[in-house]
Amino acid sequence: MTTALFDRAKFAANARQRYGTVEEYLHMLGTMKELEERGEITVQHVTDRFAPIPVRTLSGREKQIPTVDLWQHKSCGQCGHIPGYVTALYWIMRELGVPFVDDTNQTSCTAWNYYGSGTSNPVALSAVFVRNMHVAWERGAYPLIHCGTSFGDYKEVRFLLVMNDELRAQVRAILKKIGRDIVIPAELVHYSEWLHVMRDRLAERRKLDVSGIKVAVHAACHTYKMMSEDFTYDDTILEGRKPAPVSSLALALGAQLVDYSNWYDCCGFGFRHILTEREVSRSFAYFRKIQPIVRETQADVLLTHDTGCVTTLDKSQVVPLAHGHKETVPVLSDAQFAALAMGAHPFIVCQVHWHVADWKPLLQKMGIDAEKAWEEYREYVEQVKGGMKPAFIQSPPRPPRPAGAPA
Amino acid sequence: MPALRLFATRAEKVRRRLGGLNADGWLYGGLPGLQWEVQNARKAKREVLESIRADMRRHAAFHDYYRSCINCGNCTAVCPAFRFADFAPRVVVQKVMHSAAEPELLYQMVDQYIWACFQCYACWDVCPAQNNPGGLVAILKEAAVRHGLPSAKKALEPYSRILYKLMTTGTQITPDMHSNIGPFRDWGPHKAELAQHLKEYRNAVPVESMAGVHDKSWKVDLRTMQELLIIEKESGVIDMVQKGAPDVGDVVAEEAEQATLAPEEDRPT
Repeated sequence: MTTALFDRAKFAANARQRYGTVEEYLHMLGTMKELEERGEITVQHVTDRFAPIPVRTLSGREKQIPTVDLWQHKSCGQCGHIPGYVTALYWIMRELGVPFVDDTNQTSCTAWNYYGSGTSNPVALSAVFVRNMHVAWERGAYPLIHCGTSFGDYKEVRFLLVMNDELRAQVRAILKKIGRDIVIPAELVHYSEWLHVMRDRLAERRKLDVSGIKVAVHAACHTYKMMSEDFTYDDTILEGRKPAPVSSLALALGAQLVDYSNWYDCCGFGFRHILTEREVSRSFAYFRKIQPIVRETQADVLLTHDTGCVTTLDKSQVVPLAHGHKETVPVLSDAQFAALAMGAHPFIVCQVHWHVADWKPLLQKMGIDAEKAWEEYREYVEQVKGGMKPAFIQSPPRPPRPAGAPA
Repeated sequence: MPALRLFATRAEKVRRRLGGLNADGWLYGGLPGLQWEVQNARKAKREVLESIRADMRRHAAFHDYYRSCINCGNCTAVCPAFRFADFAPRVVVQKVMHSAAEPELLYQMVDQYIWACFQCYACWDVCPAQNNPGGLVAILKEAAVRHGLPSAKKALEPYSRILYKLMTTGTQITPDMHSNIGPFRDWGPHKAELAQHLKEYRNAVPVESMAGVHDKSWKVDLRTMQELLIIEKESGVIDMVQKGAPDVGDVVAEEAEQATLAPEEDRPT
């Protein structure tokens, strides 16, 4: 009995952190500040030069969303399979005059692989996180995380890193070998949160009428189910009961937002399943998401804000349709939909042709002549084949670096 | 006619209790024990069982992922894997809870059960006790790989190309996976058509870091890849991959060795 009580007391003492409680999340942020004050870590703050806009998070805390001079933390899945995700976002930023940095000194978060295969550990995940954040800090730009899983993973490992002295020491030792040190952003920001705070400015530049478009939204699990305290909610969007990003953008653009019963379900991605057991992903995506969404809402488009969700929900419609099921809906990212509404080219900019579920009815309903646009795209491709430089979307000029910023 | 008795005798109670055990006499903390699981766990070496349990409890995140399960089943109610596979996050937390007395419970999970998890973390979101079943699954996957368990080898076998690419370039999903000899052939005729024009479409993507890049997600600097290899080596990731996926682990280990031994001026600074 004595041993059992001792074990229990030891276990409680070891439980330094309490994931999943607002109090401990706020406590972690307080600890991060203390570490900064003691000079143990560098914290990159959202200073005025990043023109922050505050949002409310589920914890009740106000989160500062940087809006300019953003270091694009790209997603491997988006850049590899859904290039329109990135091109549309960059195009929107250029249209709004928002400077950004597209860096080749970036790795993915490696968390897709970790969740799927278990081939990593907290030390490696934390070191990868801090390495990327250190690069952004060196460049003087604020990290904007494109992938929902990177965002979730980074929130999780930041918590571990701040609250666990032993882990921090291990990570610091590794970073020393690559000439870096621990830099942690004060705010971890997902790109859909940026779109959320910029939605009115996007709406001002809307060129197409999307009031006839029914938009269903899938909220990506790793944005709001992992460390749920730190994602954006807004009382004026869906009564603050569901995450605000994506839905808020669709509403700002004037589209009809439709709701459905299985909104909380994941997309079926599964990390490992989408790669090596796709029948599981496919069944879930189609029978728990696509079919109910179409039957309940007759949505014209399904918008989401993560790599895996677009991939799974889009690609999983092929086989069920071949088996005679009828329900189908095009799947786009929020950035692609917004760019289309703002008049971006559907193929040169939004790269819609990489998507599988039939997007032609959507383009037609939005008033886009898909055939004409395709001809233009084919002509553009031929010109690139002939040696023309692609129409690269460049960042507007960046603001001058403040004095004392890292070289 | 025997006299009517309201209470069972002590002997009857003992007989009833014994009759409730599994056929092999093991007690699974009140959980249903499947015979294949029992046989499977019996094949494992005792030291491996103990080591997996110790690894789990030593893990940096364990004390945050597990507190105590009240068996409410909220996690299972929202679990996508539960709908389509033989998997329930409640069972994961229950087995972790009882593993102090019976490490066999962990082995059963690690050697098959956990690989069904979707890692969506809905279970964590809804747990009233702030347990993180998905996180526990991730810890146990790590243990499976680190010990080179058959389930890990089986799970990683079709994963080798992706794993190699990620570990050496830092990006794991690449345009060349769209090719007709690559995976994802079930993405239909539209994808097949895309595959035919893959090179020209990719070359025309209007983002400088992505245009013309086929074997990575974006252009990655050599220095960046070297830094990643050093992180993987120093954090023990390469060691664990050498056990779970030796073919990949050995090649990556060689590359990491070169990254570490590169002349001082070529090393990341």
